[in-house]
Amino acid sequence: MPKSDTFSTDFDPLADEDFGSLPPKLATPSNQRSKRASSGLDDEIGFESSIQNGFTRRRNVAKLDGETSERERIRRMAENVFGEEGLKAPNIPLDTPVSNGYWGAVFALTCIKDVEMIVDAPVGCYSLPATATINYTDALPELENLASSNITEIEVTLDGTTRKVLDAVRRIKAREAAKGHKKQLIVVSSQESELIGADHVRSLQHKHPDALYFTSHAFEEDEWQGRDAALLWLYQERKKRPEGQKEVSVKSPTTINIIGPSYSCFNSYADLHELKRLVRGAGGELHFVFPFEAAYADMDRLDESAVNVVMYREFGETLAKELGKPYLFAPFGMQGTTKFILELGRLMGTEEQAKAFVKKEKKETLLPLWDIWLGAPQDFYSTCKVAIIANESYAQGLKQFLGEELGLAVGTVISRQRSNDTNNYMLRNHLAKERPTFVMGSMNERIYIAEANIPAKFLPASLPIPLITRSVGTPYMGYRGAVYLMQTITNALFDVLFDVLPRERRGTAAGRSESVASQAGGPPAATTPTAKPSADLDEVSGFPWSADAKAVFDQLIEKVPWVARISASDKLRNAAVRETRSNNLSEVTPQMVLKVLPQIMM
Amino acid sequence: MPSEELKSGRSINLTPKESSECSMHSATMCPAFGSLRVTMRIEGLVPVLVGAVGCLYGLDFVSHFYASNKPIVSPSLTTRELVETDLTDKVIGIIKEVVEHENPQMIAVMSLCTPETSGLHLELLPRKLGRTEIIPMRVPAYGVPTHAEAKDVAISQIIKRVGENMAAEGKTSDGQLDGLAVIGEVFPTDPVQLGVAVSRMGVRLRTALPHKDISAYYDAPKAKVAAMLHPFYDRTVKELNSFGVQPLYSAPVGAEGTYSWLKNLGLLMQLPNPEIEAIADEEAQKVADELDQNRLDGVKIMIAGYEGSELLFARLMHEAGAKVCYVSTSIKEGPGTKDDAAWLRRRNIPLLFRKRHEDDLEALDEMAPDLVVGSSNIEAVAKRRGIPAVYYTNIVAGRPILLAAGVRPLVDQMKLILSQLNTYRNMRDFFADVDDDDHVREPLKVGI
Ligand code: SF4
Repeated sequence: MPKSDTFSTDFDPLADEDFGSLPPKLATPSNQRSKRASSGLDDEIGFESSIQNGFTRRRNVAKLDGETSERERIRRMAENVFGEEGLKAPNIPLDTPVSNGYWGAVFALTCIKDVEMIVDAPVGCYSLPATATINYTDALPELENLASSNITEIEVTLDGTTRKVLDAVRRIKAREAAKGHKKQLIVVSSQESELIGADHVRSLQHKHPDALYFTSHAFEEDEWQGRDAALLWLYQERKKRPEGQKEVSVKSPTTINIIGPSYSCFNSYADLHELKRLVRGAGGELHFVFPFEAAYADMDRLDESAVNVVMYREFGETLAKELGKPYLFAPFGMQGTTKFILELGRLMGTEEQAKAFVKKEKKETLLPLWDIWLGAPQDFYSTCKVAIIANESYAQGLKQFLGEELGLAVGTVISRQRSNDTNNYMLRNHLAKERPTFVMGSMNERIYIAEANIPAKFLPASLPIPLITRSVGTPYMGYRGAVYLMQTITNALFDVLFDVLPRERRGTAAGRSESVASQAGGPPAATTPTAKPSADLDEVSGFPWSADAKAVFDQLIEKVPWVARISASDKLRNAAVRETRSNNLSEVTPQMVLKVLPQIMM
Repeated sequence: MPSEELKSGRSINLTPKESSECSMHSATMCPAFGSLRVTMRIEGLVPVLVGAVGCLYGLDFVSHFYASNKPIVSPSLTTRELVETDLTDKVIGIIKEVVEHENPQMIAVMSLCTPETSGLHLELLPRKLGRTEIIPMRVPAYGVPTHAEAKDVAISQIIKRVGENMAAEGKTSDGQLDGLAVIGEVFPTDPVQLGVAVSRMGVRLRTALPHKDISAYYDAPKAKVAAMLHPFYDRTVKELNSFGVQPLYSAPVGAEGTYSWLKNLGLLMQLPNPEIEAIADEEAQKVADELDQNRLDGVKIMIAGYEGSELLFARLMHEAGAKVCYVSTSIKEGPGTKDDAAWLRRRNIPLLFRKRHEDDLEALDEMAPDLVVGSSNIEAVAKRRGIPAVYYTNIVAGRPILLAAGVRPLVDQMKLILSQLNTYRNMRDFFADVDDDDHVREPLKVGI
């Protein structure tokens, strides 16, 4: 077999069909394999046929964009989201909201508990997902079933990683055998091992034919594509092995599987909990949660369901299609969830039960939603601007529920898929202009609003963020999710109110005039307790304003969320008058207003 | 708890001692985090991280948790960019945009594993654009094995640049070096305490690195002595040496440590011996007094961190009366660790450099400590057994440790944790039926 260099010359990244607009095509079931820049892979046909129980190679589906088209695409995205402004965006990629195919494979496959995974990677690729981040998302001390070949300089420059990978496989097998466990070993490639052209298909096949090898396509695929592909691959791989050969039939028309929940998905524990409740309420028998509650040995159960529920739009759908059964996406909101339940009932033939469930839920689970709606807190909803920056399921689900069902003023909505499909630099500037009341997003957005001094409340709605959501009491999906979200938003409004209410001092008037004096730049006044408490206020309200200053003032106040306006206008007016006084001017000018603006912006 | 119980089959010991060169569980963050931690905390500096999306995601995550709230400029790489040669151009393009839109004082370009493998030409980056200094940092995990050492890369690269600038402007001190610079991330009050102590010897504390002001880096090459409070700053030592700055290793931790450190400082500063002797004695006495008041007598403590400062902490614990049964760290043995390692070995304290997670697990089995201060995964294993345990980085690295003021906070913290022994045990007992002997659980279930 001819062996190509790591960077073979016939490698043409643009050979595949054009990369379309979002959502990108995910891996499709196919035996086709892409021409990858990796050694030992070039003679594809001969290679595949030479192996019994052949390994399926995933087709390389994410397009390797040329620099120009990639830029074009980001520009187009920017324009769609930000309009004219977007076209002028500087090309500065800030942070990344989504990881790559390697992380996707790690998170999708390690949650299967009888899987032992060995990643062919340098130390950081092991410790970042396996210990550093998983502590702060899923609250796991570590991914215990993950080990690494720990690539060092010598493997990069001379040896390659095969020896280390085989050694790791041997040792893990020995360890598990000593304990009498039967585990499925999976070796996964990383960005670095793919770059140095490490490929262990042949050596594994030779020495450990029971171990699987998964190419994570770490450069070409994002985290969601990686998860999607890994789930599909695992299913197809098993089908090829002797234990996967037997015919599996659907258990009953009401057997339901949930596909998708895996490690490091935002709020997935609570959402899954709610989803299960809905499935059962609609008359379904919950059969298998893949991969989260799965064992590799039980994978036949994937074929036993009548209907599949795909938890996220970002990944899992390809497997659902491959299974060939009807499938639904997990729902958000009160209307969305009702549709979901009724549709699920229709698919299972349990319409009556589904209808009865909806009716009962309205009186129980959903009743708080109706009550909050009837009360005064709801009055502020339509003046409440929300920006949503999250993965597709959450972005679309939140927009539908908060915007269409509750009538909040949903402004910027960004459904993120790929790592750099949003110009975060632009987003930051855009949020500064739009000044939403709430920003729902990840740590990145939280930093942007803090950096730009935007007085918006931040509500978490997406990874990356250190946020443990293991309690099942905080769903965003389903009926309980609708209630929880409405309650959260309403309480956040109360919080805004708390921040804008005046915080007058409790001390004597002396303290008060002192603070006025020192603000005016004078020495702390030797005041007596008899100083007029409202003197400065009287002087503020009578003070003359130029017409321009008034116009600027009005414009600025326009931008303040409604609920905070009265208090903000008070603060701004007082500060502007004080500033004018201390500058010895006879009327307030626009400059004075702008000068004090930073002081009153939280 | 009888150690027999600990030993009986509850180990997840992965590697019998045979081929120790193959470590599947090295204990360190992705090394590049070290350089991010230093650079993100510098005001007026924009960090640029060049690597695969997976690296950026993970490093973004931990840096925004542990370093600072600063966005990171993250050009992600596609295969095409890696295999063709326009990667350097792309990075330069982004640097230009950053300069145009933000005009920072400094840009740190950190190059991770994959660009290092495929050949990002950092040497082709402009040195300076407008007023912006552009500082390259190579931090591939296979070349810089721990995040501690990546801090060294960051600091040494910045010093190298400011030194070159000073030389170009004729602003080097031409042998007129004076004062002390301290290098090593310590608690903010530590350098203050240190400054007071050395000022008694007539020594001026010039600067403490890492620092949030770039100007602090300009001060380091002007110092007569640079104290490496942590032992892994070999590159920084080399840079400073080229200006004639002399390194001083170890740190004034514990009574003996304080005495010898101050004396060595006096020697390097060429100060009159009797005076120095007296001051060193007095400061050491203050530490000893504190140590008399704050005891951990008989407490068997295991220290298994990866920060690189474990040796100092071990010295302090030993002097406070604790029985330090094991010390491990991820950094390598070198000039900076010489004195502390010798000190610990003289006291028969087992000491391991470049350790693996498996070594710590073995030690935990063998030693049956009362208290574990270690990495987050060893912490979890210890807690499973009902042993009070904390994450070194969160607890030790976040407290003062130098001189007399460094005794009480850490001893108190250890006492506090030990005082909760019952809580740790009750937790273990409550969940005893959840994990089996190998800690293997049923698949996670979200029950309703
Ligand atoms: S490839 Fe290197 S830099 Fe990137 S996460 Fe892995 S170890 Fe860290």
